[in-house]
Amino acid sequence: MVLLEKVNSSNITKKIRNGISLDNISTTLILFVVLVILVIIFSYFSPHFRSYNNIFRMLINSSAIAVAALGLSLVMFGGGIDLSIGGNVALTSSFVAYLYTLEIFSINTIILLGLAVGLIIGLINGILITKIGLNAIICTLGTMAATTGLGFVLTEGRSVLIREENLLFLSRGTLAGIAFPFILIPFLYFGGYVLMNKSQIGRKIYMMGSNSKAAVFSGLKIKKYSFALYILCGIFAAYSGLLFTSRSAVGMPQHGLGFELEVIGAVILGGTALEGGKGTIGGVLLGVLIMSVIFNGLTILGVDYYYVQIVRGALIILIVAAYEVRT
Amino acid sequence: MHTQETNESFYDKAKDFFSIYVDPILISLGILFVLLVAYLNFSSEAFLSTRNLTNILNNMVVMGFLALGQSLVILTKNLDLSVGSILGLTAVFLATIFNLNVPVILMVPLALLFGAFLGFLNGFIVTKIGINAIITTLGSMSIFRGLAYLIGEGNPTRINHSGYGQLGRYLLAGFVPLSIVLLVLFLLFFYIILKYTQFGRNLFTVGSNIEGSHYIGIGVGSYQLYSFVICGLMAAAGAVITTSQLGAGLPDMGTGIELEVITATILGGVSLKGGKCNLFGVILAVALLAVISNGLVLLGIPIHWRRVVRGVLLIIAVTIDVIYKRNRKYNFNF
Repeated sequence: MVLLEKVNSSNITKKIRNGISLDNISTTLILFVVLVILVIIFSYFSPHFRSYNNIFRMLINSSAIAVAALGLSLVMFGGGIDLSIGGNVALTSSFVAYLYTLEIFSINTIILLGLAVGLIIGLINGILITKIGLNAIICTLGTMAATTGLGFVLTEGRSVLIREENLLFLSRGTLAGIAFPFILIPFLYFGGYVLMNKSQIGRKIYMMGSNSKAAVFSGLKIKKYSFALYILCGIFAAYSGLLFTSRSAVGMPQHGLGFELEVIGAVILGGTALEGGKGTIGGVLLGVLIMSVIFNGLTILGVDYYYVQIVRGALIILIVAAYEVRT
Repeated sequence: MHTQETNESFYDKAKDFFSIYVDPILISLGILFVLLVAYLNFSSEAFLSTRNLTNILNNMVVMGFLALGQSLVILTKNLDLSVGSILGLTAVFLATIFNLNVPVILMVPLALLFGAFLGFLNGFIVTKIGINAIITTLGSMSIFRGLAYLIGEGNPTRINHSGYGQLGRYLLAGFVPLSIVLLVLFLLFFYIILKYTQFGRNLFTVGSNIEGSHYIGIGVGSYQLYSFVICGLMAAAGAVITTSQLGAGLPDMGTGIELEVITATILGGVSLKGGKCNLFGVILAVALLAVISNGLVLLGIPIHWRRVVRGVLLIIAVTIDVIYKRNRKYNFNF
C-alpha cells in the first residue's frame, strides 16, 4: 500500500510537474495572465490608468494596431511577412488628405479610394513576391520606402485637417450606443477566428506556412493563397491608416512612421512564428492588447518616450527568445 | 565529382572564368552608372564641377563603410537592420566622450570598439540564443535609437576639434576627400581578407551552405558572430566620419540609412541567399546611389522623391538578383 501510494504520489507530482511545465499550458492562457498582471500593476501604480476614460481611449486607440495586426498575422501564418504596413498607413493617410484638398470627391468616395490604395499596395507586394519570387522581407522593405516616400510627396510633408463626419465616424462614432471600433474589431477578429480555425482555407494557410513544399506536393495553390493574403493585408493596413486619420482628424504621412514595428511586435508577441504556420487569432488579439497596455501604462506613468522605444525593442527580442526557449 | 571536373570542356572553363571576373551585375551596374553620369552631365552644368564631385565622394563614404560591413552579414545569410541605429548611438557616444575630455586620439578606437560591441550584442543574440536575425536587429534598431535619444537628450552635441574635423573634411590635392581614401583602403583590406585568407573563404563557405560547413568543422555561429561584429565596427567607422564631417553628434544620425545600405549591397551583387559577395560591385552600387541622390537634387526634384526612388531601386535590385539566379543552370532551388 505504502509503495502504491508512493507510486501514485510520484505520478501525481509528475502530472503536476508536467501540467505546470510551460509546454502544456496554451500560449493564449499565458498571454492572458500576462495581460491581467500588467493591468493590475499599472492600475496599482496609477489611478489614471484604471479610470474608465483612459481604458476606453486606450482600446479605441489600439483599434488601428488591431486591424493591421489581423492582416499581418494572416500573412505570417502563411509564412510570409509584410513590412510595408507603415508605408501603407502613410500613403493611405496622405492620399486621403490629398484627395480631400482637391475637393472633387465626396468623403465616402475618398474613404473607398483610400482602401483601394491599400489594395493596390497589397497587389504590388503580391505580384512581386509570388509571381516574381522576391524575398518577402526585402520586397516589402522596398515598398515600405516607396509608399512612405509617395506619402511625403503627395502632401509635401504637410498635414491636412480633415473634419468630416463620415471619416470621424470610423473611430469616434457610435452604433446603437456602442463605439464603432468596438463593433468592428470583434467582428473582424471573429471572422479571422472562423477563417483560421473552422474553415478549410485556414487549415491550408497553416499548412502552407509550416511546410510550403509539402503544401505544393499535396496540390495546394500556395501562390494564389499568399497573393490573396497580401492583398488582404494591404486593405487592412489601409483601413488602419484611415483609423489614424479619423482619430486625429489629420491626414499626414507621419502616421505610419515606425508603425510596422509596433504591429509586428504585437503579432509576434501573440505567439506567431516568423517561419510561419504557427500562431492563433486569439493570441494576436492578446498581443495587441498587451502592447497597448504597456505603451499606455508607461506613458501615463510619465516614462520618457525614448524608454518606451527601448522597452518595445527589448520586448520583441525577449518574446521571441521566450518562444524559442519553449520549443 | 572528380570525373566531372576533369571532363569539363574548355567552353565551360572559359565561362566559369568570365563569370568570376566579368560579373553581369557589375557590368550592368557600370553601364547604368556611365549612362547616368552622361545624362547628368548633359542636363546639369554643375554636375561635373570639382566641388560637386567632392560632395558626391563625401556622401559616398559613410554609406560605403556601412555597405562593406553589411555585405559580410548578408554573405553569411543574415541581415542587420540596426546599422543606422548603431551609427546614431555611436555618434552620440562620440559626442559624449568628447565632452568628457577623452583625448581625441583615443576617441576613434573607443568608438570602433563601442560599435563592435553593439554588433557583438546583435550577433550574440542571433547566433548563441538563436533568434532570427531580422527580428533581433529590428528590436535592437529600436533599442539603440532609443538609447541614442536618451543619452543625447534629443539634442545635437558639438564635437569642436579641428584635428578631428579634418578626418572627414580634409581634401587631398584640393578635391579628393581623405575619407574616400580610407574607404578604398578598407575596400582593399576586405577584398584581400575575403579572397586570400582562410577566414574569408570560411565566410563564403558558411554563407553558401550552413549545414555543410557545420559538417566539415567550421564554427558557423562564430563566423556569423564575427560578421555582425565587423558590421557594427564599420557602422561605428561611419559614425566617426559623419560626426567629423558635421562637427556634432546627433541622435537621429543614420535614420533610415539601413534601407539604402541594403539596397546598395544587393544591387552590388551580394545575394540574400548567402555565399555570394562582390565588394567592388557593392562600392559601385554605393557610388551609383550617391550619384542618383545628387542628381535628384541637381535636377530640382523635391527631396521626398528620394525615398520613393530608394524603395523602387531596392525592388529592382532584388528583382535582378532573382532573375539572374533563375537563369543560372546550377544553384537551382525548388
